[in-house]
Amino acid sequence: MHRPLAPRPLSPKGRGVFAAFLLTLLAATPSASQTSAKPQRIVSLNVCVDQLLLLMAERRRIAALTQFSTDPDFSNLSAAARGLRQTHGRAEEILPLAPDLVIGGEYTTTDTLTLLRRLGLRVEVMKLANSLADVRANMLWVGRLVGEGEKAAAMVLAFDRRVAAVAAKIPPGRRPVVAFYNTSGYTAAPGTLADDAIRAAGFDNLAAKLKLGSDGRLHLEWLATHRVDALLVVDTEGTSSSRAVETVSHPAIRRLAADRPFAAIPGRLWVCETPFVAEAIERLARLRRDARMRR
Amino acid sequence: MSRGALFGALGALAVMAFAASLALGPVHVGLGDILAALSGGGREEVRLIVFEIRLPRALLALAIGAALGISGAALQGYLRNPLAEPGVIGVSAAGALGAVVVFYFGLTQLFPLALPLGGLAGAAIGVWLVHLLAGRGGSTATLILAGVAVNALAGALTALALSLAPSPFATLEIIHWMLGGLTDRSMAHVWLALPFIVAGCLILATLGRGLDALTLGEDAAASLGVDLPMLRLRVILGTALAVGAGTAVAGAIGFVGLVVPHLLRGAVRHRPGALLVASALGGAALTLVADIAARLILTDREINLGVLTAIIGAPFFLALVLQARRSEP
Repeated sequence: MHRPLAPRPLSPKGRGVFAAFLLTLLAATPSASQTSAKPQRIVSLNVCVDQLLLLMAERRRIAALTQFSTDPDFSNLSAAARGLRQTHGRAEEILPLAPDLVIGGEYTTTDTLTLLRRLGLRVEVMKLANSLADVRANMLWVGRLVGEGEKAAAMVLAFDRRVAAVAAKIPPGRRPVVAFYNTSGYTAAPGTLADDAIRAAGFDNLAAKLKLGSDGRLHLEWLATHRVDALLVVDTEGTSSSRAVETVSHPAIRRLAADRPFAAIPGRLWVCETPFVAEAIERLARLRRDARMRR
Repeated sequence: MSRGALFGALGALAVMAFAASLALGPVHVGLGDILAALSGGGREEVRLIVFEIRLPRALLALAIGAALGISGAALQGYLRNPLAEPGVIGVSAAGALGAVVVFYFGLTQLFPLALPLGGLAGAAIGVWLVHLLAGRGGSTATLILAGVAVNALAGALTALALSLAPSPFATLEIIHWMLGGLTDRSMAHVWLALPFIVAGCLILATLGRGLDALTLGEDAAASLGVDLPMLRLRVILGTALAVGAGTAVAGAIGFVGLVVPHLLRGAVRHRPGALLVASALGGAALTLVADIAARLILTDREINLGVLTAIIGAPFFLALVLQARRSEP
């Protein structure tokens, strides 16, 4: 699993400094060589890359996004993605587009990527973001690839400002504990982006206290017996039915939600390394203030 | 052992397994706390665990286990074949297909009863197909082949339905339907399935006289006043209600209907009628115990109940196949 470049844990302030340092490094190197050869036909094979492309590159340079790019369950920019070509990630769909840059994610089928590389295409793979540091690094990485380093740098600065504004308002002392209950009982395991966002909002994460592994699940019985100052679930309103989605509306969850601060968060906000992670942190911070006021 | 003593012992076993199902789980709760919760008092979090998390699953394990046990016994008696069982002959898989179709395409959001009704319809088509393909008293090989065919078709159509479903989670959930389980089921599922399961079990429980008569042969049974087409209809309807509704909320749970009647057949002196109630009680006890094991074997996650029953049941199945091969010419 990908680990952040910086030693952890960093204070929110330390992170800002680190990001600024990274910025100067990155902004200095690519501009001269890459502005002259900005990729003009970019294909994204990952819904996170979809969103970063929409934020940074002009529409005419986007040759195709993923089939998920217009799905509001996955993408924060589903409306903006409408009208652009979509692929299902199959080599036969991608080749005729004659892309000069293909960007996939760690979960993109390696067979497809290998095939595309062998056919002479430029293929890059974005690493999974497991922390706020990774969010910054990946935004800058995509910016550099598509020749929009400055836009990416500005985006990271704005992102850092929002994260720092939340950090500045975290009161000292013991932090309230939040339990995040995702579909099928999955949670924000320690060492993931969601876990980092929870801490950035001033919470302690129940999953981290329980030392759950990356595929660990929160059992409903644990929710009932551990100290949980606030409950956060994934927002499944309007999501098509499945057993995974059904778990979030279990009566036990509703009972726990009734007598403590509670919020539902759309998964799209903090699954991907986009500036929307800052919105997730701001929403979490509001939940934390509710949790404090009750005590 | 007299029939009364056998039913009493099996009933006591099921009651003990039910109590253990309320008492055991990933979080340790003292017996006193549980009793306090059950009598209407106690701490809030214990009441939550007992009533919202453990009770629905214990009730479903009890009901579904009884349904599988009695269906197995009824199918074996009616088809006169010791290998007949809802899982083996594809009735559970067909029930799962029916439930999958209504669940993933949004029908259950409009109309919750669509879930058990979908399972029921699928299971009914499954039993009917097997009956059509293998008939009654046909060879074991024909029955197993019919089961293979129905299982394969239902499995493939379930996979197809899940890949066409709008939910991004759908294809990942095929395991829950093929090898079912009771993780985090709620009282809502109990209320949806229980009435149908009870109705199915009651229909099957009244088949004792007909099945007993059938051991003498069709002609003898008919001369004893058994209405054979009616008997067939009740077997199909009872199995569809009991197995279909259970499968719709828990997925396919295999081999309970095979193992339990097989273990108890000697104790009821090979009387298919007496085997019905005995298998319902035994099936409930076995499923409750297997479901406790499913949540306790691993500490940080659960094993699907259907995985455990298959691990227990498949060797049984193999032994029965060998036995059948020796007795057939």
